[in-house]
Amino acid sequence: MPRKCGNCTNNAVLKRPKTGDALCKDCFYWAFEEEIHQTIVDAGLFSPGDTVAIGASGGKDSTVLAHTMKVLNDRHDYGLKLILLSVDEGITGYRDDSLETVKRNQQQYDLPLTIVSYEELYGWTMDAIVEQIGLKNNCTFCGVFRRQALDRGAMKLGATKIVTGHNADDIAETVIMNVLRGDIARLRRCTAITTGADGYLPRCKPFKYAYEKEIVMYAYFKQLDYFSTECIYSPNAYRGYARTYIKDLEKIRPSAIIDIIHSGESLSVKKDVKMPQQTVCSVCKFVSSNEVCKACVLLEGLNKGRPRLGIGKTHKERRKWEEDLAEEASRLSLHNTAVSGSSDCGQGCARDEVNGCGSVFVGADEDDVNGDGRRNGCCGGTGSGGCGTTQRENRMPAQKVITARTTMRNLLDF
Amino acid sequence: MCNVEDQERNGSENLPVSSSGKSLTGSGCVKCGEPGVLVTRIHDSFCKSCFQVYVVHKFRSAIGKSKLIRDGETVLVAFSGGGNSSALLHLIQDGLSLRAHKRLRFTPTLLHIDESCISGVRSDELRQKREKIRQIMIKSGFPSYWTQLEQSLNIYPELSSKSMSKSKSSENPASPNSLWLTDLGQEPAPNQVPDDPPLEESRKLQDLIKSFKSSTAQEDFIHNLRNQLLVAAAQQLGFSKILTAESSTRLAVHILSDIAQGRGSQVSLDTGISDERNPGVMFMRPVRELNAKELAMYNSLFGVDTVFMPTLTTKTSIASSIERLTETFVTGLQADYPSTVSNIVRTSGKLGGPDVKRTDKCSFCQSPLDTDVGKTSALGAVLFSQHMSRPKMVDPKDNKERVSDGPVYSNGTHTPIASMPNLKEALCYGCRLSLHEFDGDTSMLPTLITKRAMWSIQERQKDELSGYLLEEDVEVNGVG
Repeated sequence: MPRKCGNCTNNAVLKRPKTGDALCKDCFYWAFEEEIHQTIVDAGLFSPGDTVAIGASGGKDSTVLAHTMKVLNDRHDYGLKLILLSVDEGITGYRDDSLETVKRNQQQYDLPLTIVSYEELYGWTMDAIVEQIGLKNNCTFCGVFRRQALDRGAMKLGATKIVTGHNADDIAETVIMNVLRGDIARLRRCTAITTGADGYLPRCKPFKYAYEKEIVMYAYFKQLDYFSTECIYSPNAYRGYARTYIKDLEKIRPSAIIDIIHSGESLSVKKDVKMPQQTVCSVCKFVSSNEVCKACVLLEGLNKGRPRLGIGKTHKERRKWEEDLAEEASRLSLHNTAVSGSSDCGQGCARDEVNGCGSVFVGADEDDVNGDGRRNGCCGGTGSGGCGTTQRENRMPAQKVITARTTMRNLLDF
Repeated sequence: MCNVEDQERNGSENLPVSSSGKSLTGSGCVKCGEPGVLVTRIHDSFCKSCFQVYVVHKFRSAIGKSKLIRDGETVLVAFSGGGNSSALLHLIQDGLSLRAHKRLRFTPTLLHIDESCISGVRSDELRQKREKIRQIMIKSGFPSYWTQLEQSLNIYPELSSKSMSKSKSSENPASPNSLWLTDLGQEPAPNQVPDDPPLEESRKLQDLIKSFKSSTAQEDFIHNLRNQLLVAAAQQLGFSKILTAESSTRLAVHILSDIAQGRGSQVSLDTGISDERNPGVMFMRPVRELNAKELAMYNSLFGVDTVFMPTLTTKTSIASSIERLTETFVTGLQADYPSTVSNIVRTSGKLGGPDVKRTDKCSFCQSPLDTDVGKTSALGAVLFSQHMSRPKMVDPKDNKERVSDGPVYSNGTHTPIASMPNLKEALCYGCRLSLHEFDGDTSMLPTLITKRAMWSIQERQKDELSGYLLEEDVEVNGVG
């Protein structure tokens, strides 16, 4: 005998992963949409008149998000202006296909669409980046660049809010990943429904409490047009471990996903733990946890043929770089050894050693081979504590106009 | 980490090689240059005596840094017989011996909780293991006590401080009798195998555990039950500190499985150096800076006896419970990324705990309640989802279920609180999850839980009615 819908007299077609209740199609649509509405209302995500940029990748989450936002905006009279915003990372065989889906969605939902590309913003496509860095750590580039790309695109469009399709599974995964990586600042932020409020475009996640499975079910029963291929460059990401763990947990106890979010929401950080302060990147003027934001460091590395600069500990890569340069310099006998490679630098960096900084700078070389390298070479901006002042004292004014800088200038002008 | 000598003794031609590819037998101890016998961390080898110094230092610094144990204090050491607690016992013995550089300043008493009933079998093998544990405890020369997990069904909770001040009744309500703690005495009596736990009680506990539908909930329940029994024993014997021997590996697993079971707010209590959520009794974890391999290596190098007791999920599939899955996950990741365990433990070290002095505590695990959350919260979202996908009008079938959920409390007091929905109100998110999978009768639950829940609900009702009630009903349902 077919199981009945828990809410009406029709036959049930699905069992909700979130609560275990059986529902028919229509009751499920209604419940799913109203839950999103409830989240939006409870958290006060929007105000009437907002222009909301929907981060659209063409995947299931963003397709369902675009659909639901449109439905709810009409049904509950939010008074929002909705626009689709896509980022083209330049991944042949993946993003070009998924963007086709977004273009179809644009017509299906009658929403304006804008596409910003890594190539126009940074001068690099992901294809070119992967060529440099290989299939390890490439997701770091993509993730960091995308965050900024969305912000830039949304600002260009005059949007007041950004919504993304992050679902409950994504958030649970991020909680676990931040515990594994020991990233306490992100661990604290990652369960917030809205981030980046002060002064910057707020980003919200209306699907924060929606199970990925339910989103797939919704898209499946509504026969929404979405693109469902995994990114061809992502199989090696560390995130994959957290993802597998979450999926395994869900099999054992379906509520685990929401339980992890509850855990994340009720975590508190000790008062004496030092938190990185959010500031503004001195190069590109975007929000950043460090003097220079990650995107600029990564970009500098790419432009200088040192793609690993922003991966792992920046100061290590800088040291290697300096050593290479020094070697070259001594080979050409242009200078005496510019960088000693030993750990005494005589400029107060010895103090940094105590803080585990281990920087090996010599500031004597007037030619400044390090160029911008100086600006956060001391501790790689990872906030290992106590070396902030020294770092600033040591910093030399950047004298050279380098390619990275010009690229950044160009893209600031839009 | 591996023991270099093992390989040599086996006469193996293949010398152990570190991940960096260089032979380890040749590398000397990083401290003194003597030939190394084992490799800790990634490729640092240690000789035996420097390894001992390293382990002892980690143990003593954990105690020293915390500054929690006063001079000459007596502490209760939870001793299961397993690898970690055996190593802890050995470290304590060593630290108290005359040859120790600076003697430890506390006096230990050992306590073993016999949990053999969980497996559901009574065999000679288990009896032998029990006897071995008893011998180890007696041989240690420290005062030793023995109890059984079954006893947790009978312990009575201490009165909450609030009701204690009002009703100046019995001084120590946690002790109906003291028969449940067996003093093992000092003289080793070789043929005296500790008895099997009383059969009827064992059945009761087994039935109770089986009423939880998943191994995850069973493990969580047993864990909390064990902790409450330890606390009751410490109160009974007059101790204010309990040392437990969780290794960093164990704690890393615990941190993740806590998070996965909605116990995020309790992570720092569950895994920090100290845990003060139980009134008057503090848990301490002095070997939390050593990982499982280091402790196992210590046991093997110094000939420490250990007794392996199977747990609920020993030899089951990795997906049998959240804890089991997490253990596999962490150890697997640790093999590829050797900093995994220390990363996880360090993260939890930065987390703060809830205010343990709060009065609204979970009736079972005693953690401050984490269920008073705003509208936009995971808990709120689940409740709303349930509201959306369940009928607004209660149909007869559903209604019937709800009735069977909450029978009237069996000992005759007609208080409504023993019904499941009421009981859950007095529990934290994590304990609610476990109880959610409980399909037995609420009267099967340990008195400890139901009593505390009853009090907490009465307190809440009293608060709501304050100003309208005249001072007379204090003792109505006080001590059972």
